This record gives sequence, structure tokens and C-alpha cells, in this order.
Amino acid sequence: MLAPLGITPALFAPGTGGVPGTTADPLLGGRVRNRIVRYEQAIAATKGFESMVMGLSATEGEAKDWLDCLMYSTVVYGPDAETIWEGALIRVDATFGQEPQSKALDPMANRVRCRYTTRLGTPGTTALVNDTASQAIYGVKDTVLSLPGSTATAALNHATAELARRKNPMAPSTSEVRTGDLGDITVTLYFVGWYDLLRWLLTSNTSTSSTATTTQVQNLITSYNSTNNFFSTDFSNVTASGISDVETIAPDTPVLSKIEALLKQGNSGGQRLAWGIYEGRKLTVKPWAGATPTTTTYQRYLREGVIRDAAGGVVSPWRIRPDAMYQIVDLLDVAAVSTAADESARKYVERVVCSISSGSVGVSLEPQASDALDARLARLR
Amino acid sequence: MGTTILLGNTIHLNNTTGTPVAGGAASGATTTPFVLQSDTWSPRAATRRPIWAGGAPFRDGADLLLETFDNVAETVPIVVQGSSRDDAVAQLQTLKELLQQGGYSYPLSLAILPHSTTNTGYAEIYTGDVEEDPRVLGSERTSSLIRATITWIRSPFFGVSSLTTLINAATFTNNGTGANKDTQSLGALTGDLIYTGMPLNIKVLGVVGSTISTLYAASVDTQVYASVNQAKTTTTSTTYTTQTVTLGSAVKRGLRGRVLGRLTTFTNLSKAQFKVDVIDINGSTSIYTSAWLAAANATASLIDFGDFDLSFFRRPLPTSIQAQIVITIRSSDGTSVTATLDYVEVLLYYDFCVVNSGFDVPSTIKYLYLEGATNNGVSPSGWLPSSPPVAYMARTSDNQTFDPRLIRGRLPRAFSGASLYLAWIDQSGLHDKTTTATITAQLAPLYRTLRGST
Repeated sequence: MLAPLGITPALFAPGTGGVPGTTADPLLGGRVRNRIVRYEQAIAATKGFESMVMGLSATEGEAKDWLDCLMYSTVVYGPDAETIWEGALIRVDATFGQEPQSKALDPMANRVRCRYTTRLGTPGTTALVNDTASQAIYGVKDTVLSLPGSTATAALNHATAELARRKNPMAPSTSEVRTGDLGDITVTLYFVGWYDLLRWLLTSNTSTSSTATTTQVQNLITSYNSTNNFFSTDFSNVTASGISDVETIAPDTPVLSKIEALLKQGNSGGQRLAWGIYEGRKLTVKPWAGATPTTTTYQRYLREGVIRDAAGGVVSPWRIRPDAMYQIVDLLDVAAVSTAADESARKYVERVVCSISSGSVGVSLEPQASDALDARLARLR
Repeated sequence: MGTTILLGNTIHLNNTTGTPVAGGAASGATTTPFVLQSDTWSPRAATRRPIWAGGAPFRDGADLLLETFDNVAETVPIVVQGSSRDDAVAQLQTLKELLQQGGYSYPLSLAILPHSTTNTGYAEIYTGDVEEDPRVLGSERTSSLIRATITWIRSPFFGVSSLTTLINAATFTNNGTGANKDTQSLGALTGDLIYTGMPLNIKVLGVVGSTISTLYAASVDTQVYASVNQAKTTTTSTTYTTQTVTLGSAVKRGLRGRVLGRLTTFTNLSKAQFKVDVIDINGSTSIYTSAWLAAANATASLIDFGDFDLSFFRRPLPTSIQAQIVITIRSSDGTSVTATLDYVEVLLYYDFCVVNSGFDVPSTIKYLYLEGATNNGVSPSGWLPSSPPVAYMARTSDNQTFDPRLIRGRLPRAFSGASLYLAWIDQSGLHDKTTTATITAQLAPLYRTLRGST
């Protein structure tokens, strides 16, 4: 369709406890759509909706308003009313000429405990120290501190002081004053997919029972929701792994870490799994597309600047999803190993990054072993 | 008589007699002291900004993927004839002030009526300035005639002062077939962009006895209706009878396909899920498979199965192009589920959107307005594309607006030969195919430069 793209980010104010709102703010959404100059979204085979960045032009007042919008959730719709990305706003950067102002949730923590050891080496843990005001706005975000060779009182003091320092969103940008051009007013909004917020809570479990890995993952999300009600408990997109593992979780383990530890074990067929949080904040778990590498999901002709589906239909860059087999049609792969995900003319798509800016619409399809810096950083998170 | 060029409904920039009136009133076309310098300006067409895909060394040429239009920067040489030099300078000062108005108070319109043409085109000037010719301090330093150059940046298109009504208070029934069905022709269009798309303003005057909670709106080239009326029960999954649909003799490049299905008479609604497969006519290859989708209402639901690319169907066939539509029902957990597939609609559409309206009865006091064009409340001025398009409620009594609504997707625009598609469900998700709405659709024709008799 020859027309302006018409990407529509619907924005939802958070409810109590950071729970995503259900009624979109049409005025804010309209303002974003009118101001957007740069858009980039990333989706990964083992995260789902991973991250999204929007660059906006803004007036001084609008830029200031955005700094108060942390934890707003978004559902981004494409020009055909399809959902293309979902997540939560976790950082806002505004530049007022030379002066950057920013607020971010990453360093924030509003539920803190401190683990300590006494001078005799006896371990202990303080009670949780909470800031309920912050939790009411953003939801609960845990952190655990360490204080060796000390006392319970000192550890509690440490936790209390750290909570006071970190209970609110923090400003990561550095101010600089210098001669020369002052520059423009711009806003950059950084969103993460809901999957990333699974790292906000720490958990533990002393049970040694063995339970199906996908069942454990569903239970962990249901349990997470009892504190931060961020996720759908509709698990109809979860394909049972067919394998089990113990339920034990070491103290202070992020929920996300346990989920990944379970799912990376694969399935009973000896295949790896792909998973993530997708539309409707629903968990998807399924065998990876690399299990059937000759089944093409996307194809590309070298002569074209577009990606097509297996039937030859053009797929818009913002609709490309990971966990897919990608085939270069023009390259005849006469000696392909039938079980190899990555071959001369095909590869498994681990992560997809769609970028839209003035004069350019593109998508990068990253393989499993991508050496791109942002892909490597994403794998580390 | 020369071309009429009216800025902000205040200053005529070109005395239509061809001669400026010294110290005259700028508000009159024949009294204004301003005149264009001869043969120095006519409106420029907005520069196209295409995005290309593919190219050398792999192929000849490249494909056009997207195209937008830039704002237009123009330089307009004028002359002002004052009653004195001070008067000439003062006239230019008034012009300078006016050119700043767009960012200060309300949009600054530029109205152009070329000599011997019927209709005025209206653009919007965003910013502008005036600079005197160097001769003002040199060879013409004693003259009360001052040459100057206006520079402005204006909207990409010219609009019209009154919208063109394409559908006038027509009854739309929430049904894919029958009299006054959900798809009705927009009729003949005017404007330069009938193949690019021009904005529509759509007024939906409510539904008596029901509500419009979610409105589906599209500009469509082809609507295919297939009656099925078949019940299926399953504890696993089963398919309804395959529907063979005719997509037409040729599938235009600007179109995408979409399938909607009406399902009724459910048992265990929450356990039932549906998907569609769009399959080639041989029944061998799926062109599109939707996700598994749930229905919202046990009595009757309308499911939007999503959209698909039509490249496969753009083939030079001697007969009409056909496809098969297969809808499958499954149980999410083995519970027995039942649903009747009433009908299937396939849309070949240009634009499609979903608006959660929350529109409710009594319909006589409010309506839902989908606004693709605006004149910013300034009259006379042009109806130009609203960026972004907006949806809101309004009172029928005084047009006071309230309750802005989110538009997902692209608000329908008018294309040559297109029809308007509208369907809705109420707050319980019920798709009542007996309800009607009164629809008015108005076109904002757009012109790239001059406007003629239409």
C-alpha cells in the first residue's frame, strides 16, 4: 500500500501496582503517532517481544510530560490493525537542547533485603524492606544486597538506606554545559517486552518434587501475578515439553532465571524450545522452527528488498517474527544437510529487529550465533 | 482578470486587475496594493518521497514500497505599491505578521483561484517570511513601489472549503448480505489523488436497541459474501465446509485480503477457538493461516481472522481468480464445543481499522465521528488530512465533541471504485446482524496544484 505507514502505538496508563491499563489514551497515542520520527522494535525467539525504541519530536512541555510516563504500557498496531509489539515504558530520555533529562526504572528497587554474614561467618537475612508508595505505582521490584562480616542491624540499615536511594525511578543521563549549538528538543522512549519484567521478582522453592518443566513455568507466572499482575494466565499457546525437572529454586533467584533454566532443557523429542511473551501478554512455548529446517517460514529473492512468506506473499518488515526458517531462494543449496538449521542458503532466525526512520524501512534477521553487538548484549541480559 | 491568491482570508497577494492599487485595501481582490511579479510563480507539486526496495546488481530497476509527500517550500516574488514608501513598508509589515500567524493562533490558509477557473483550492501555510529586494535601498530607494519575495512552507496538498458527501445518511445493516448491507459504494470521486487515497470523514449515527462497542471500518475494492450456516461439534478439531470464493478478474496492487466470519449458537464458548486457512483453488497450499482466535459472545460473534498479502493471486488468468476459505473449530482442552458458522466475508481492501467506540443508546443524542480530514475549524479554509486521523463522540444537538477513541489500523480513505465497509459488535461482543446504523461519508478531495471545475 502506497501510503504513510500508519504505525499506531496505543498507550495505557498503569493501574495500581503497575498493572497495565485496559483503556488506551487516544490523545496520547495520537500525539505519538504525529510526532514519531524513529521506531525500532526487537523480538527474540527466547523472549518474545524484547524491546522497542521510539524517537519523537516534541515541544518542551510534551517532553517534560513524557518524563512522567514510566510504566505506561503500549500495544503497537500496524496499518492493518494488527498487533506488532507490546511492552512497558521503562526509560524516557528527553533532550532540551544541550540538557538531557531522563528517568529509568532499571536501577529502581522498591523491595529490598540484605543477606549478611556475621564476623563468625554465620549467614542471615533481613526482613523485606518495602516502599509501598513506589510499589503502588510501578509494581514490586526486588533487589537483594550483600554485607559480609557484619550484623543483622547493620544489614537492615543497609537495606533501608538502599531502599531510600532506589525506591523511585532514577536519572541515568549526565548533564553537560558547553559552547556551541544547543540542539533540539527530542524524546526517546525505551520500552521492554513484558518478558523482561519477569526479572523484577526474586523467588525460591525448597521442594524437591519433579514436575513437568512447562507446568512449572506456568506456575511461576501465576505466582508472579499474585504480586505483579502483569501477565495473562491463558496458557493455550504453551506446548507441553514432555520432560520434568525438580522444583527447587535457590533463594533470591529471579523468576526469569528459573523459567529460562527450565525451558532451555528443550522437549522430550530432544529439540530446543522457542518461547516468549507475545500478544495479550500471553506465554508461548513451542518446539523451535529449527527442528524442521526444511520448512521455510520466510523467503527472500536477492533481487528484492522484501521478505515473502512461504506462499510468496510479501510480509511487512514489522510483521516478521523470530523462530522461523529463512531461505534465500536464488542460492541453490544442492548439498544441504537436512537437519542443519543454518545452511548455505538458509538460517534459523533467532532475533528480529525492525527499524523505521525517515527514508528507510528495514528489518534484520539475526541468526543464533549473531555477532552483532546488540544481539550479544541481548543474550547477556 | 488574474489569479486570486488570498492569504489568511485577509490579504490578497495578487491584484486581479494586474495592477496594484497604490495604498489600496489588501482585503479586496481588485483593491489590493499587492501583485505577483509577472510569470514568476505557480504552485509547486509536493515532492514525492518514495522508498524503494531491491536493485542493482541483482535486478533492473527497483520496486516502490512506500511513498509519502513532503511539505512544499515556495518562493513568491511580489510587488507592493504603497501610497508612500512608509505605506509600502507598512503593507509588507502586515504581510510579515500574517505569515507568522499559523504557529500562533489558527492555521493560515492560502486560497488560490486561477484565472478562468471555477473552484478555489486551499492549502495551509505553516511558516513564512518576507524579504525586500535589494533595490529597495538602491536604485528604487525613492519609490513607493517595493519588490519583495515571500518564502513559505505549506501543506503538500490543496483542499476544498466544503466536503463532498459520498454517502448521505444511508442505512447500513450489520450484515454481509441483503438490502443496505455492510458494504456500500462510495461512488465517483473528485480530486487528484483518487488512486493514492483521500481522507474520508465518516459519521455513524447509532444503533437503536443496541450498542456499537467495536466498529470495523474499511475501504474495500471487493467484498465477497459466502453463506455457510453449518453447525460443528468437536472435542478436538474439525473444519466447516470449504468455501470457494471469487476474488475478481484482477487483484489490484494496493489491496490486501482479510477474512471475517460470523459464528453463532455456541456451547462452551470459552473453550472454542477458530482459525482460517486461505488456500489455493487446488486445495493444496495454504496462502494464509490465522492464529487460533476466540469468540466473544455465545449468541453471535464476528471474528476478524486478520489480513494477508494477495501477491499470489495477481496472475493473468482467463477467468476470475478464486480461492478456498477453510475455517476450523477446535476445543482448547478437550471439552465438547459447538458453533454454527453463519457466513464468511472476504474483503479485498485498501484500508482497514478497528475503533473501540463505546457508542451506546439512545442513538439520537450522540454519534461516532471518524475524522480523516479537518479544516481546524477555520472558515473558509481547506479540508486537509488530519494527522493523525481521530475518532470521537459528538452530541447531535450541538456537535460538542467528547470521548476520543483509539483507531487501530488505518482509517478508510477514498479510492476510485471503492466501497465503505462497516461492521460492529456491542459491549457483550454480540454481532447482531439485524441492527442498522445511519452513515454519512464525506470526502475531502485533495489537489496537488491547481483545482479546476471539480
